[in-house]
Amino acid sequence: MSLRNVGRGLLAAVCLLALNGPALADLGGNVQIRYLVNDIDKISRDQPVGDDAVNKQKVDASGYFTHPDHPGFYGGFYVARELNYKQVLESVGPNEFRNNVIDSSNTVQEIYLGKTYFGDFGELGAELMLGQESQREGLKYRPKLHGRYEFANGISLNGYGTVLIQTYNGPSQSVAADREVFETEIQPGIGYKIDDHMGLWANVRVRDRTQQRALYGDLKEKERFVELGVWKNFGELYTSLRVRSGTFEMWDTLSSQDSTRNSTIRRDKINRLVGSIIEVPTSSDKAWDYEQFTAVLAKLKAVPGVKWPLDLKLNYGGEWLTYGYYPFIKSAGGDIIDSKTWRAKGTINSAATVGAIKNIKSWIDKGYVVPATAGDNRFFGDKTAALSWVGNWMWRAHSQALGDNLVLIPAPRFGSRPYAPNGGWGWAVPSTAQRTEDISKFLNFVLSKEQVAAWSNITGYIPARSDAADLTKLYSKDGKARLLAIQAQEIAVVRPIHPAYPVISSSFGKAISSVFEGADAQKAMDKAASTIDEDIEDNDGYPPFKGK
Amino acid sequence: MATRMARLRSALPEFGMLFPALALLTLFVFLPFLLSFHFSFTNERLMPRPIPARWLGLQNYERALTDPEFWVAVRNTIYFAAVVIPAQLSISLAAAMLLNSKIRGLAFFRSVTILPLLMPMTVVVSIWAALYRTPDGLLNSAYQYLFSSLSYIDWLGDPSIAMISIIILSIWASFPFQMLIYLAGLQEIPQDRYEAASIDGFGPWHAFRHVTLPGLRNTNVFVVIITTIGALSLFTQVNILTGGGPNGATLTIIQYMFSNGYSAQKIGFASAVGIVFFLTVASLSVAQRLLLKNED
Repeated sequence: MSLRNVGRGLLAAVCLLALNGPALADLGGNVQIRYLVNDIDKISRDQPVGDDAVNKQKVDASGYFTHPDHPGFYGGFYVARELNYKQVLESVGPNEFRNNVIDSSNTVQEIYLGKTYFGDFGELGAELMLGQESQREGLKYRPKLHGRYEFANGISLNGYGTVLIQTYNGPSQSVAADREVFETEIQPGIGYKIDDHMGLWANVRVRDRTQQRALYGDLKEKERFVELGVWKNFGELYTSLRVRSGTFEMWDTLSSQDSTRNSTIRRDKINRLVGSIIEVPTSSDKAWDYEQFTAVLAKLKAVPGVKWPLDLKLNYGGEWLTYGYYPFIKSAGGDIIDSKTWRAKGTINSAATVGAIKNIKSWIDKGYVVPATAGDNRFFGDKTAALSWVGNWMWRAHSQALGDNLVLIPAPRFGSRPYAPNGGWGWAVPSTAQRTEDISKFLNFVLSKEQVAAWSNITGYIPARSDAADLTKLYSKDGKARLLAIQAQEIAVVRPIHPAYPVISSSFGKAISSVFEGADAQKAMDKAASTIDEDIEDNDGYPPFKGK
Repeated sequence: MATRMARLRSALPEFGMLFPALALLTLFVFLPFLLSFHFSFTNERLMPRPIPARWLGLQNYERALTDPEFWVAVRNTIYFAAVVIPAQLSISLAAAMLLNSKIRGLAFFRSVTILPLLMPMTVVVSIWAALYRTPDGLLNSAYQYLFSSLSYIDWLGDPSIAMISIIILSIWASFPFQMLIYLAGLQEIPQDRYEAASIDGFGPWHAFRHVTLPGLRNTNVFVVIITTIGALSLFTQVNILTGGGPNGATLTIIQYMFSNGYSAQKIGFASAVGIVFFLTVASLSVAQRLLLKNED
């Protein structure tokens, strides 16, 4: 057990006014209404990474009834409206935390029925409570045993014990966090009757609760307090005043002082959950198609802790737009420009291209994609994004932040086969270069498999030669990022090779991002087509370029 | 003869002192301007090509003026200027008047107020990017604290809000400059005018209307013109924060020129846009100068 968030304070200062019912026919008993403020001091300062401290305001009403025709039987109800607010400290980066307040309210309805046996020694009784809470599905049952033993001279020992079981019968596919609850409570006490109209009591409550959760580990609660009270009768009016003091602890069985570990564990839970509801492909020939991938996103969206299932790096802009999304277009059977006629019209604005862009846009519309303005680190920083579509330059940042929980998934396909992005930096030698011997010596050295492997080991990038892959840690046969190298070799798509590429890429990028931001897909792509074709015509097809 | 020699003798050092500035201006302002004027009639590209650039006549101008995107940029730029100029000038003047009154800790307030000026615009913009961040930037945290913890405002990603966000940050970042000029202008106004006004029974509003404003006339001309030019050439904020997006909502003329000239490498076309922009701004400034004639 790692961390406990100890809240301490006056648990409740309750003023209780219960009216001993003016006998409605023969009905006896009482009805009471309370207002309760349960303000837990927030997590102690030296333990900054807390989990859930629940502060409550509560209004409740309860009734207790007896009837002379049925001696010993009693029954009652309890209804409550709880206004809860939970403060959760969330990690947003190494040693960086944020207070997240979760508001919720809850309506509780309970009824109970019991029987008490009276004897010379005092009394002994049992009851069963049946209840329901609006916050969760399922019913709760609470059997209770209670008794009182009376000594002479007004002193009595009393107490009760209960066991509460709250069932969970949510839909089997649901990933909602809260599951079954198991709670025990005993409250032994001692009473002293000064006279028939007034008395004192003191009791101790010991309560333990386990809230099982699908994620995050179980939530445990521990309550220990002492209650002191005095009661007095004024004829039919029964009054009492009580004060409680004690400790209340609540802790997450998974939380730890190390926030990173904590969220890594959550991440692990998410991974396991994803693994249990979704079969993750391991190679490109088993890549998800668009529908499967969308279904995966929908499932991930429902996982607690996941704000956005997919980070498409919309924050990048620029060349990324072509680099990152061209493979989807290509996979859907579309393209940016016809590589024979070098005309964009009829290709970049074809049904296949426009359809693929609309398909990506539909993820954005469904709230699956991290918005451009949400920054760069939702996947590996605060881990609110479940999947990330990005280039190998992020491998190091991702693997440092996620460790073994980083899983590579093959590029999804929109059509019959998947494509992966491709690109990097090349070496070029001007045709006027004089010292060609030196240059070739240098290039042969730099591009030797040892050097390429060394380069890859330092940068984490995919090695540019397949025979260098075996010399690297990441990309060799059992390397963690092997899949990236295979994709680069087998399904990578090269962006259009044409001197007008700056115009081609910037027009495509501008068009696709305007569609993501709300523009009409067909119109935006028509505009890009005419911009590209116009530029190529203006430059007479960019001689001496001949098309291949 | 002697007078001519004397005139020459006095002109030589004058010219000598002007020369470095003139040479630099020629090299870095006039020549590039003439070059871009020339480029605007050609299909010159950013990267040199094997074939020479071709003379296109007015084709670049024609294309720019018929491009709907250009007009979106023009509209956005005018919208920005129309909001920023009055808002920023009012804030600057109000701040200047506050700092011109006798309040405790005046030096402190004066230095605090000009802090935004000390930061390069790129730094200011990066800080504001963090403030505008969704869903958990400072402004969104404040919004969630005050209103709803479930929703947030996408300050820079929502087409209907993005330009307003840019306006707010721009006013904050640059109002101290106008404020300093106003402050200098305010200190030029002789105190006895205010005394005379108060003897005549002028309240603060009338004193402002009939003493302060006329006294700031020359300052106003200058400030209005430079603010107009500054507002029309909005670029840094937009380029870093939105790149003209979302969906063209913050596209300005300069951003349009930049993306055509650098991203698409069409320097000829971008030069044409630049010339159109220059002519517009220059004629606006001249018009303002004529309309807001200086005193005397």
